[in-house]
Amino acid sequence: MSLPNINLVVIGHKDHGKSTLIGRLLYDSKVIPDQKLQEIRAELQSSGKNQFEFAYILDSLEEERRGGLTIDIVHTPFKSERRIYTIIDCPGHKEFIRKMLTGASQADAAVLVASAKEGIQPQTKEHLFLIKILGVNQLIVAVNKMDTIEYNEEAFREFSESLKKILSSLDYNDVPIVPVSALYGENVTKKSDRMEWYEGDTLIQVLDNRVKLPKPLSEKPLRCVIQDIYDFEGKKVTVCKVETGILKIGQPVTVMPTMEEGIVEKIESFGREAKESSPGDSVGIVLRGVSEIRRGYVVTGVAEKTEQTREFVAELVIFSDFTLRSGDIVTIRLGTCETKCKIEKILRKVDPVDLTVKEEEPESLENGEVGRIVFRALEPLYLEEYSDFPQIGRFVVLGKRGAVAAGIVLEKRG
Amino acid sequence: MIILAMDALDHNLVERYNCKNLMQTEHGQTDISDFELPRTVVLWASFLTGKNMEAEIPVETQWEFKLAPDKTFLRFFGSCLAIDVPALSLKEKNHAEERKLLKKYFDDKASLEDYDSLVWRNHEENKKDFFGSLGRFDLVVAYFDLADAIGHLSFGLAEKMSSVYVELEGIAREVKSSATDLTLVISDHGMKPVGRFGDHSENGFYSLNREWKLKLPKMTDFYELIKQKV
Repeated sequence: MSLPNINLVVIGHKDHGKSTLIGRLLYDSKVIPDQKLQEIRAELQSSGKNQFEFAYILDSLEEERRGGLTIDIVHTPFKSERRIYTIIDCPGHKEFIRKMLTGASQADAAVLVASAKEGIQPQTKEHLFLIKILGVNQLIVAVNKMDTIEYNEEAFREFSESLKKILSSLDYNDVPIVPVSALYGENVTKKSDRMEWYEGDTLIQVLDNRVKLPKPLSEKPLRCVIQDIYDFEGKKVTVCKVETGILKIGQPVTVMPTMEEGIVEKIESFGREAKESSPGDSVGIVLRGVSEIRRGYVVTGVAEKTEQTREFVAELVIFSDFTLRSGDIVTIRLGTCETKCKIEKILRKVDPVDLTVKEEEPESLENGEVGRIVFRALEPLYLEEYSDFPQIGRFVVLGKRGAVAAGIVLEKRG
Repeated sequence: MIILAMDALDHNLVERYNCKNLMQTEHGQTDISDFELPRTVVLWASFLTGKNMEAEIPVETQWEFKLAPDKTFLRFFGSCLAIDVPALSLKEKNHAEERKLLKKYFDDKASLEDYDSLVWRNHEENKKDFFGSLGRFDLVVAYFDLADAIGHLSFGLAEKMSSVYVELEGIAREVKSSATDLTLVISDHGMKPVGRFGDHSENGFYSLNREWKLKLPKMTDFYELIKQKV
């Protein structure tokens, strides 16, 4: 039987040992071939390094990936006894949010790596803030570099207390905090005998026991995003991608945002008729009883009572030379749908580094700034909150020369 | 010469609605790829002067920008009339009213019908000015923003856009039947749908009632072409 997969994002300040921890996890779970490890050892020795550097595993794999056709952000997975964990890289604020928003990755859980020696740093808070707004609700903290503070229990407890304050301010409660030394493999996959005062599980055990498996996309309610419409032999064939749920022949469906109801008469996949299709499938369907259908519309199950949205609150990051002002009319692209929205109000400008509200109700947001905004769609729109359906809860704001900002839907307001 | 300067007249829609009078003898798409953004005032100013005016017209004050007629191809004609032409003879009050009502619409303080009826009223005014001037000048340039102004709020509504193109086709038909002058129909840019709304696209249009055999002409090419032909 294949093991279930969990997508993990590893976050933390740049010198707190993320790469070393990931390298250690890969090494201990024996997913790196012996030959590769020998190569790494030889390279390290030739560069005068006597101690094995776990972070070098990542560098080495990274070089290998760069040599390939694509530069992916997903690292080699590692295995526990119960699961396969795929690690999503977190290179930096803007890159991270862009990748999450473009759907390149969707983390099921996050591991925050914080150095016991250096303490809480700006980037630690920044990353926490980002995963929170991106709807990653499962979090585990690895307090790393315990070896540099001589595995001191009191220092760990103090650090944990200060961390808990920040975590609870972001609604992360009851977060497991594991003292580790990634360099020496203490409490990562093996129980440490240098921290006998710690009675909890190792990091890998915590991951196995505390992180809940994501619900399979096929078990979620039906959402098919319409990509195109063709007239074929007098019939309107709608090409769509099944994002969640199962699409079946004979199924009553609602087309959003028009709320028109119809029946799935035919499903075609790769030129053949199919009885049903699953998440990830791009299929051609014929809908009976639906008069108006366009690119950007979404097919949902009738039973789900989906609703149109006119107003919503979103967290937005501007990543281009662009100024967004209250009252502006902007074009957003959400899935395959492009529509016009008015910036009804900029509720606040948030500093993603220190988590503080920089300004309440600012007039504008500039390049690099993050804000919480009330959007009003100029025509009925169908979207979902990001935490429920990331696929139809994220969007980009289009400027004259392409995307200028990216956002996630935090709240639908009817 | 007659120039029908039709804002946002879209090459695809002219063909889709089979507007034969707008297409005239020769028609095609214009090339505005030299411009960073398809801005109305910039494109018309560039058309009039034969120079890319993008750098000279700031976004914030574009509607106030005005060219001296002797800097434009109007100087090649003895008598000219430019009706409501951006960067030259814009009816500022009419356009300010349109922009004001557009803002009110976005603020939920005006209806789409209010806005549409103002646009149509301004259009009728230009149409009257235009037909009243035919035969009295060496050059008449008449600007019509119907496709642009209606399209911005309703480009996705096929029925409404169809009536806009029927109207513009009617103007071209009437010109054809009442004048034998060299006639150029030209738009600054085209339009693309954004849901029910519309945004500027690069899909501009030109047509002539003579064969000039142009191939994807640039907006700035017309200055020299007009100079040579006239």
